[in-house]
Amino acid sequence: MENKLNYCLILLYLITGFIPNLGAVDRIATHWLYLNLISVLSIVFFIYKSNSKEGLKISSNKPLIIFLIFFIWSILSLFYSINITESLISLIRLFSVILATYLIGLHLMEIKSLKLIFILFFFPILIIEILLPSFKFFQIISYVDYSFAYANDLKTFTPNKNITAAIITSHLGFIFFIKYYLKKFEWLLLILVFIASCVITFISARASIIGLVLSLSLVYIITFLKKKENLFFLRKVILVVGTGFFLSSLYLGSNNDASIQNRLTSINTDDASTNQRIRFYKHGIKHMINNPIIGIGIGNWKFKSIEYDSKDIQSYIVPYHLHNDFLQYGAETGFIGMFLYLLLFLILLLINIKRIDSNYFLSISLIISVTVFFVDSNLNFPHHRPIMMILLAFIIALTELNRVRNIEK
Amino acid sequence: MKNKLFLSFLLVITIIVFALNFRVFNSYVDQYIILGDINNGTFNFLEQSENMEVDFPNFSVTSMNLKAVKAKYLIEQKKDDEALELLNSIKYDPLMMSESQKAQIYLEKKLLDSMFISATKSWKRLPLNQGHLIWYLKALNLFGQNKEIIKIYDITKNKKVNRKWLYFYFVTVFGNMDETNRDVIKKQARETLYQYKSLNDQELNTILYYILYGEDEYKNSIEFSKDGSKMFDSSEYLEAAKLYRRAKENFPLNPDYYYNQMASLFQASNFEKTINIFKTIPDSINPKNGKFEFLVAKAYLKLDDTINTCDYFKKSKELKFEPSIAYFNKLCGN
Repeated sequence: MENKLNYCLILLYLITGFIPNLGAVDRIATHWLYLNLISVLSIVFFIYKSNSKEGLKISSNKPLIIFLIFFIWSILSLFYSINITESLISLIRLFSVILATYLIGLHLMEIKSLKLIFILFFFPILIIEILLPSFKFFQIISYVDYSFAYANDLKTFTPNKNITAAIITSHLGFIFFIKYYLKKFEWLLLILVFIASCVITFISARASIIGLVLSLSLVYIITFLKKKENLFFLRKVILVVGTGFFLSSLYLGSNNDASIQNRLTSINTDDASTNQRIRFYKHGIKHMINNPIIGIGIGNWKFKSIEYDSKDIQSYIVPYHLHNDFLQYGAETGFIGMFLYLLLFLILLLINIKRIDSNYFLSISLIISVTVFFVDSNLNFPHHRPIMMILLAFIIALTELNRVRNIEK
Repeated sequence: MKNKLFLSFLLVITIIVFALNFRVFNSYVDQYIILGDINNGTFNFLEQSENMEVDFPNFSVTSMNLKAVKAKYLIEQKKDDEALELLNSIKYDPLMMSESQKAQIYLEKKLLDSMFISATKSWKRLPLNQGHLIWYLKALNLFGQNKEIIKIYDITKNKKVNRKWLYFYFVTVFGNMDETNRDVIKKQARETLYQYKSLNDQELNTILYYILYGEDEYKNSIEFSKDGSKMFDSSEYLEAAKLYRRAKENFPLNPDYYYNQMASLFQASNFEKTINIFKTIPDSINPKNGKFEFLVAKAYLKLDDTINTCDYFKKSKELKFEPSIAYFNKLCGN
């Protein structure tokens, strides 16, 4: 049975990333705490207010089961962890995400239509996420010529420009499902896609640019093979994204270090950031090959990395993250841990591809989000940030809803 | 009913998780000040440090063992024994920050062997950390291991090193310079000066100049330059030129001394010599800002050498020295 509180609690989950740091050195501590608080409220709600008898069948929710198995496998890493306290902290964070996934799933199951969620919550949030860096951009160019040096100023609502770009890009996929409900406002959605493409170019986040291009290519192929009648809108989106990239690059000029051409061609071995990532990956792979079954314990890479990188560490600047979540989980929990986390993304992708015939727009939206998240997980460390992990929780919960319901009748 | 039991179980677990996350949150709030202290060398958290969380979490967001961080405040309060006890209770410290602090305490207690062991351990773990370097250099100095000190420089090969690290290293080797190692140290200083000249770090450059030209020579050059400026101000240009020449001889890396000598000679109407001095400036120290070329052009103008005048005004203009634009347009426009 639907209850207004379901909507309120979903909204509270969605705004996790906008909660200020409240004096903490890293806002993730505030966000994890906030996430737990919403989960406590949600559980209390389900115990006392909800009349639902349906519940969420965990046994048939494959992504959630895989996530749970990964969590249990990670718990086992406590037996060999270098630092148990740090592993415990990582485990309670992982638990918080899985719990949020379960509870969001319960909320969504009680809601008859996703229309309000997407139009009243996702859509305004997406607008805010796109407009905040856009306003900042105009503020910058009113003073100086824009260059890559100012890219980090566009981070606005997150602590890092790459996270801002990843959030915008992975939320951008939801434009398709919003379009399903707001057919008359297609032009507005395309304008948003255009602005978002420009913002991503100005931010110069390579992972997001690659993620967006890959995900759009993937959904184009799938649509072409399975739902040719929907190619028209998709082509428009691709055209708008391409135009956004092209015009923003044209504005920046080919000599500008923020241009797409310069940012993408800087993925070579002369680029300091790329070199550093390659060095981290080599350390991670080396560690996994030497320790294939058991790693160093969940959450412990930030200690082991010091041993590997000690000759290059300046001051106390430590490579806390491997910049590849799969490799990091592999180094921390062995090949099995890495495989389980990879499997989670694969299953999410497969379920949504299978459901294209029934729920095209929702499936396409989720495929884009999963792909962008996957690419980001390969180049950054979204597992560390609640703002990203709450998105994964929504992707899993929506995928399950996509699997069990015919939403686009 | 079954569902509610499961949810109640989840609620209990979630409340426990919330409590643990709250503890982490509180530590992160403290770390906001603590990390600021570490980065800036301040002790703003000193008063609250007694109640600092060191167990959950036991490491900072930057992978520092929080017991080692707390020990830093105890050392500041001269509670060395308490700090040492805390440091000895640390079972795992990948950054070896605790060993660096132990070295500090052992030195205070005159336990030099222990100091040497701790300083070596901490430096070997993080050789590019300037804090660890300082204690290792002190340890090597105390045991007179000059050859080992000079070898430290080798780790900077093919690596970008913090300017403070380089400064501490060269300050130490400068104090240990003798006939046996002078050439090696000078070679290292030359390399560093070349590699890090873009930093334009006054502190680092000064110590490198001391090594390359001698402290007295460097200081003398400053004195000669000051005297030269006084002479220039009182219109005694030839005397000023002589003093700038002596400044230049003591420290030939400063292009200002060349320019000032040229300007003094120009004022003394010795235009040919002004031009000749310009020709002796090594290309590596010419700042290429057009200022020198402008003065040379003016010297040629005084000598009525139109071709060279225009040539040098043009060079100066190309180096974006603004006053040359008007001269060039007026004299060489056609």
